[in-house]
Amino acid sequence: MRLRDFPEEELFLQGSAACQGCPGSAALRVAFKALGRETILCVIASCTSVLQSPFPVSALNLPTLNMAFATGGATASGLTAAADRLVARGTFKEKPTILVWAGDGGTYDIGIQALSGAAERNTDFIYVCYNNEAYSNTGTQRSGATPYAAWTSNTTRGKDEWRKDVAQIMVAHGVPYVATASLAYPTDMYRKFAKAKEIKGTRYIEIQAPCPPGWKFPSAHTIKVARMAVQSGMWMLYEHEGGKTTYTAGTQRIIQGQSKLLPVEEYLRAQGRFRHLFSPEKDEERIGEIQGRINHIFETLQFTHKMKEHIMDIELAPPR
Amino acid sequence: MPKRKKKDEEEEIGFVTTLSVPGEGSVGLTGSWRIFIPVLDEGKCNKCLLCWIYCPEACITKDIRIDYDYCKGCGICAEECPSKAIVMEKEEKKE
Repeated sequence: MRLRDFPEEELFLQGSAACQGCPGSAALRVAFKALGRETILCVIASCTSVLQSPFPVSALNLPTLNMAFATGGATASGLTAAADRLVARGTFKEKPTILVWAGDGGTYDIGIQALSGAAERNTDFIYVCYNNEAYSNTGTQRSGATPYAAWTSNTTRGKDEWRKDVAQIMVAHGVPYVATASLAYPTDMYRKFAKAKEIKGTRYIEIQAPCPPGWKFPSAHTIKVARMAVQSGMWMLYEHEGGKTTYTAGTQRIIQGQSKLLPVEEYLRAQGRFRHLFSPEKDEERIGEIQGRINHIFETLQFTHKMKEHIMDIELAPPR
Repeated sequence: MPKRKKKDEEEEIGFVTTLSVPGEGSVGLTGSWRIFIPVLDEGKCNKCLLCWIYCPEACITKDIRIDYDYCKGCGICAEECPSKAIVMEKEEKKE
């Protein structure tokens, strides 16, 4: 799928209440293009509840439900049951896609119980978490998704804990499709959404969303920071399907050795939320800890990739 | 004891709800937020469509025209343009 083949129709309308350079609206645009008009959207309390704009006009040109923080999975279960019934009755010709759009607060911390329940029942819906790694809507408080050493308004000397990985928790649920996406790779994101649309059952897609006011960088750098996150290994792009994880786009190129891992220092330097690691003096210890973790993960993946190639060679070699 | 109304005698009861209707410019013409304005040099543009897909506000059409009524001036298009066909310039506002 190339950019010129993307549909022209905009379901996210201009003049919304989003900040300049908002990653949430950029992600919504690509998602809506891939999913099309036959979609029912459920927005969990997050920045999207704000950027869809005040009553009586909405910037989202889709049937939208605004729900409370903890209800993502539960609302989707209800919507799916209702849609199934309406299809059986003949009111709907086809079942619409049920899309839940939640932030990282509504997924990692508050909404995980409902999400886990819906995933365990294999409810037929797409759950999207657009992860800006803090509660940016209410003033950048720390969330379960905030990375190690990042500034938030209540971790002023940097967070002491490492972030948890909800995408891997969803993989452990054994749902049919789990994917991670990045704003800097729109074709990859579009392909993942289009693929998820065709699959039945719970599908989980997580998008990293660099937030200019929350992460403290200029609004023009939203895409640049998203790209640096993938290139430095702080964010990994993969899809998990049928018990198999496939790495895609930028992450795949690093694992296959086509491109080199960007030093994590460059990614951290691009954002004001890591400024305390560089001034007044450079905190080599904490930067080294982050780099060490990334190196460990990628060395393991690169080794596995090489071993697979090696095993393939043995299998393909003619018998002697 | 009052009798229960028959079905065809029942009144239709309406209810008031906060239902938003989709529309452009839900918070007005957001172009007034802008400090820097993107200017396109069509000679340099190679129609790669990166600005179109990266624009968070859907302000660039697929045939590369910028909608200045709603463009918030974030500067992503100028930053990401590989041939530097879009440049951000300080906007002089008309009073």
